[in-house]
Amino acid sequence: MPSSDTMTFGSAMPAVSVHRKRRSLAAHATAYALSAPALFLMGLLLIGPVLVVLMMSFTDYSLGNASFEWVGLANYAEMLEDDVFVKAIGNTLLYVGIVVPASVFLGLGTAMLIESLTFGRAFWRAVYFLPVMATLMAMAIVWEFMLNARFGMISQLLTLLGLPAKNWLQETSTALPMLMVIGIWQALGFNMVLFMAGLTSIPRDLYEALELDGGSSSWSRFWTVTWPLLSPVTLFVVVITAIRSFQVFDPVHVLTKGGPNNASMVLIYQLYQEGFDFFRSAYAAGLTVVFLVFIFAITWVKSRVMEKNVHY
Amino acid sequence: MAAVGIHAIQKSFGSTDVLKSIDLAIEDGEFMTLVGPSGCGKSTLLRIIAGLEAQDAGSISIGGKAVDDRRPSARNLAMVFQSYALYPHLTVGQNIAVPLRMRNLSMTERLPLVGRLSPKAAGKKVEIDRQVRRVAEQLDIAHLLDRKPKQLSGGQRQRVAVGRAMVRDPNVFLMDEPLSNLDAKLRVHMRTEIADLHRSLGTTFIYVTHDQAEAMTMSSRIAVMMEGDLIQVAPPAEVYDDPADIRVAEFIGSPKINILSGIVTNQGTVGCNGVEIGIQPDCPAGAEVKLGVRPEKLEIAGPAPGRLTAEIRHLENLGPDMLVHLRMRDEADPIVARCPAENLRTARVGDQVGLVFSPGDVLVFDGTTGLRQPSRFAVPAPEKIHA
Repeated sequence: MPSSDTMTFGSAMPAVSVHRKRRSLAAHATAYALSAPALFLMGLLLIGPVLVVLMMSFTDYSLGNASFEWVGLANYAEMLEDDVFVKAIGNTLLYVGIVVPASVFLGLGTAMLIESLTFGRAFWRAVYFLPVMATLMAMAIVWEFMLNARFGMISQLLTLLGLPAKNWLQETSTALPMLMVIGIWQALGFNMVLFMAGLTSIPRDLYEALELDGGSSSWSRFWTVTWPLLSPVTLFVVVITAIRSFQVFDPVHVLTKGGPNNASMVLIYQLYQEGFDFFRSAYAAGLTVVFLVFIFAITWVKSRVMEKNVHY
Repeated sequence: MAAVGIHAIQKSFGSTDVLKSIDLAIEDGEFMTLVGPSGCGKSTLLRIIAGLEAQDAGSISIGGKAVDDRRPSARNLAMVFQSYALYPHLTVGQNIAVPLRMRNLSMTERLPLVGRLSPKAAGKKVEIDRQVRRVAEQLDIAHLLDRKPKQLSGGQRQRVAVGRAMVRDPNVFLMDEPLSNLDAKLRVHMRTEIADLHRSLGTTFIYVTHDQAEAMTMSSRIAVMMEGDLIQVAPPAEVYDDPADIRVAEFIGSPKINILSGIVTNQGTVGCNGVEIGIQPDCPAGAEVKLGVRPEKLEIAGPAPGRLTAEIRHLENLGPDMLVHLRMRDEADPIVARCPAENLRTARVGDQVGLVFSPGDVLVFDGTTGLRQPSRFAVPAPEKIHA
């Protein structure tokens, strides 16, 4: 009896597994068929353009040309020789390196100050958020007016104090710093609102527990509760500000056009010039790839840090 | 260890008076439970003792000294919060260490890198680690020291919160509904543990709860609060057997005490549902009174003249005992009797039965104020009639 049992069992096995395989194939086919439209659209709209840009960066295509040649890494080799590109990369990194920490810490400080107010919170929140709501293009014109050497209010104020007025946006030494000031001014309000949301989500009883545990100074409140509990928000704010700072374009375009003498040239503005002023589409594609590499790098660092440190 | 004095504490939020002049003396080493329904002001009172909330009037003293102008950190209290309030980014060990780090290390010694340079700080940190381990072993959580609060169960978090409170030697332990987030079984278990902890530490405990069972099982004394007033302060047995107010009688005890309405007769006894109850309260004839009888003091008997009668509506078998839910004519609230199950073998839902109780077990309350009325047994004291 046992042998016949084993026999039946043994012979039944392959049949079952073949049957299962067939069924799972069928199930998979259905799943692929159902997700095909979404996958197709994702490929077409999200991944496709990136691949096209990557391929274009290996050609010598110019806008309006009827044909192109494959030139391998020639565009990238040219970048290394290109003084404007080197300047643009340097300026962009410097811009990000200043604007991100400044707007993050000022945003956090502003948020904490406003949250500590007993009244008038809504007013100050609106005031600091104003630059975020106004388009940067329009606000750039306001800044241009304010910074005008002859009748700008900043220059007038300096003259009043007996200090020399400058043509801030036209001088090599001040053009980029001025753009940074505008960048910080704009990002601060957005970061502040995010930090405010983060601050209100910290449970009050943690501060009360700390108070009873003996931590009564604002210093220990900040380091023991506020800062660690804000770390997910802080990471998010840093990443968002970094990506937006890498993309800085509007004020450069309106106020300095990357000048004087490329002193305020940044990556995206060079990309715009190469692509739409000089019609060197392939070179612009190469610059786009460089830009995307930076963005991917930030995103990668973010997800690594996120995994390790800032989840509770 | 210290005694806590609460003198004429008042507090209102906007136009609502949350605490209406509370006076309470808590003795050194006592387990005092503040109990009452939600919104009675018990948590506010605890927060005022802790210094987390400022009173509008009155004074708090700890160990005989007024502490009203002291910050919470300077009052040397430890508190277990309802939410446990564990620091989510710190491990269990670091959570328990916070009170010691805050009090024993200077600001620079607490810094992650600079702190390592000081040899004195290193010695202190070893001592802190030793204390944390001692407490963790006492609470049976030593194996969890490296975990984050997120990775713990509710009961384990509760222990960590207790550990953080007991790691240093506070004057008083404050506990704000510490068991309310636990499941029923664990809550019963933790009652014993907290009572044990109080016995072994000998420190003053002030415990806030809305659960009368917690108050009854753990406390040396219970302070019953209602609508911002302190109604009765007494040991658990006294609060149960000798409540000062009908609200206390109704709040303490489960199932709830049975309340019957009655009127004082010309003979001075109480008429209730056409039956004369052999008890003489100190009230004028014609006064309305409320009679309270605990469910376990009621017995079920056959209907007879001169006996309160009721209809059985539902029988709840608890094993050794049976809860008999009864409906009496002219009484709005149902009556519950708790009787040994073997006495009720033949009882069926729908039966008309008589209710028997000893006049000595009847608590008389004023019909309008709800205050307890002293009463005597009518002479001759009627015999208890058995079924």
